[in-house]
Amino acid sequence: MLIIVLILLSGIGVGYLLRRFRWLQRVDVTILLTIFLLLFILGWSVGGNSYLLERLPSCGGEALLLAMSAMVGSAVMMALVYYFFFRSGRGGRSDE
Amino acid sequence: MNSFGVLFVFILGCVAGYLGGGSGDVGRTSLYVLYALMFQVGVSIGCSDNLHRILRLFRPRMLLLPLATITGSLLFSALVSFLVTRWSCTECMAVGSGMGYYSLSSILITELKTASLGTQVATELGMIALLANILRELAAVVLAPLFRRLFGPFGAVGAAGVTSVDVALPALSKSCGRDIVPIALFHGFLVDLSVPLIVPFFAAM
Repeated sequence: MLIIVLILLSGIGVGYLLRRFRWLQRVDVTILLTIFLLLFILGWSVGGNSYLLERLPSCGGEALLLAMSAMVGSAVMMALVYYFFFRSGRGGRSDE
Repeated sequence: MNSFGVLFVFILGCVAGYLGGGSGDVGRTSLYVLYALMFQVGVSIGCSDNLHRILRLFRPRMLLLPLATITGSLLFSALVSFLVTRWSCTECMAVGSGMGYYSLSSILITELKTASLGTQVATELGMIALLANILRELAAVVLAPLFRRLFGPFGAVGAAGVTSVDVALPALSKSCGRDIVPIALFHGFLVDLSVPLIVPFFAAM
């Protein structure tokens, strides 16, 4: 995990130092291609694996449950933040 | 839309793997490709134009927004882990902390969980992360009005997670009004930044 964070940070450093170069913005395209490659590989290991293929339907149910609960969790916390920190100050404050 | 491209490639890989027979040794390759991805993600953050624009509009209390979204996702993922008997609390939290960033979270989880769970089960959890976060993205767009009604405009933004910065932005603007746009951008940008840090944190546990 540490390696991943270090790589991320070095990427940020390089990106920041070289930000003058417009062609660097094309990294969005290469990221997409890299993601395609990785997901192809992920798909490959799922497809060649009958155990996982069998599990796909039940995994879908778990995925739905996890997705919905995380979304609701975020929504609830955001609603609380809005209520306590953004609602009363909205009208009169000059910093908004 | 990229979501379909990503799904398509995943399915293509499934078909290829099915026909090719056996998963082969993809572990090493995918790890190095993952490192390459992380580097590129870092570069895109570092050279981002949005960075300056967002910093100008910044108010300290806005930091509470991504914090709320992240905390909420983690908390409720941990709670629901009691219903999901197959996976541990930290495993559910790793999936939930993807916050809609399906490509990166699924890849990270598969890689990092291989050591403790073995390739097979790790790939399964990665698949769940992929599905869950794709669902989150789709739901964020389609159910934005519902979340707005139940949890307010900020709630809709929080539900969208990282997608509030791009994919869900039009839907959020439409159901919450134009004023939500800077909030959604700032929120999504920071949540996006947090995913490569938080997912590995819980996946490595």
